[in-house]
Amino acid sequence: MRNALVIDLDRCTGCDTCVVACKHENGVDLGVYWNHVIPMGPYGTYPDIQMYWLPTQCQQCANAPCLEVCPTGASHRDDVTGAVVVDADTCIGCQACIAACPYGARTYVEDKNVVQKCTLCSQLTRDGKDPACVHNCCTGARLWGDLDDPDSEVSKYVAAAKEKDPESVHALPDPGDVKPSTVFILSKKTAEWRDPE
Amino acid sequence: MTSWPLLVSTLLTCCGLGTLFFAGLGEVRGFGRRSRTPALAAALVVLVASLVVTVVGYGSPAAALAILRGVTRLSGVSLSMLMTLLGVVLAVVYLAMQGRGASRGARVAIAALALFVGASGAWLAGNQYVLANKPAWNTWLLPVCYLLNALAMGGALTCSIMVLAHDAKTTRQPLCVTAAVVVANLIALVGYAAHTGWTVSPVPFWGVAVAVGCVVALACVVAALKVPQLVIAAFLCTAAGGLCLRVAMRLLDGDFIQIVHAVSSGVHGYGL
Repeated sequence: MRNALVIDLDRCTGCDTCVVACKHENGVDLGVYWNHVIPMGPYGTYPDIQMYWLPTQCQQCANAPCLEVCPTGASHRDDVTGAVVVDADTCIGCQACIAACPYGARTYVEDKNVVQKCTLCSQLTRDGKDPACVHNCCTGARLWGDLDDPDSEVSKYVAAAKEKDPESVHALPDPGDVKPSTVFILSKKTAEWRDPE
Repeated sequence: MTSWPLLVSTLLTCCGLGTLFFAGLGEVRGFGRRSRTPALAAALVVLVASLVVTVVGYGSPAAALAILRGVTRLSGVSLSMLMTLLGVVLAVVYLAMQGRGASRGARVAIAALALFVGASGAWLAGNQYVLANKPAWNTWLLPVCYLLNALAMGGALTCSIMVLAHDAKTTRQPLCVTAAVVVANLIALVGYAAHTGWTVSPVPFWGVAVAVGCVVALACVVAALKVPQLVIAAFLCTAAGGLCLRVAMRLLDGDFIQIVHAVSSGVHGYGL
């Protein structure tokens, strides 16, 4: 089981609904974010300008480095959804996971002395519902499901994108075999994929 | 893990474990017999101080103890904490054996343990920072620098205690070992600077960690062959070098993907 997000950047308009929906569903504190929408660009010179939006959150890495470094076991995989989550009662706020995460997915909440992150809305997905960011995406750019299941909606979506244009399927750069699971779809008709630096 | 108190605690851990290492080496090589008890006591005090700083860094004793849960998953933070605790236990047992006049075999056995815990503990203290997300830290040279600095501090502190305890007749051997360690540390530090693309901060790294912590320390160690008291200056230099290595490393904590971390830090905040 590899539950993860598939984000179609050809559809994303950078409206930040996913950011707001996440905060609302999970009661995320003011100034804390479990997901972001990064403006990529504009690149080039007028009139040949490209730009796209890159929503990021926990990439649900197959070899998550945050799990390896966590000294208390607070960072663990949810038994049901397989998502990497943080047990607030066990977290001691050492921030080793923040240092280890290549994707800036974790935030230290000082007044609670805990680290928080996207849980893929485990409280919803455990019951078969979609994460809030997926459910509320205005353009249907976000999908969620099991990438290891060839019959799942996400697997079929990625397969269709690959069939249409094999170079349209991307992932964030991997610093050392962490294997980020989130899949991004960006075809050249929208913009040229650029690895964030 | 990367907060300032915890970086200081790794310095104290390395100093204590380095001293423990030299206590074991002295047992095996036959130097510093008369000053071994004060040397072990010093190692114990420094290691306990490290634990106190760790507790302060994590906010409570319960949080610091919770760190040990990650030992089975080989979490770097947990392993480093475990080695510090093992160092404390070993120092206490070794001190008790000193007081009761244990047999040669038992003393050699605990000396071997001290050598192992001292060296591996110092290496693990640096190895917890080797993370793929931190390009400037992601090198085996970092734990090697921690290890060699720990041995340099331990050697210089052991010799200092030998001098202060009027046991300076056998300091030649540990001084020579310390000098060799300092030279190796100098080479490792230059290698580490090369790994970072020579982007290390000039004052803490080149000014203190290299110039004071290695070059001046080496000069003091060599001079201590004739003027034994100078080894105390060598210890202070290696400790200052160790502290500034950590400062320089901390200043180089840039992430693998800068833009995502910039957004996470609120540079492009949404005002929500």
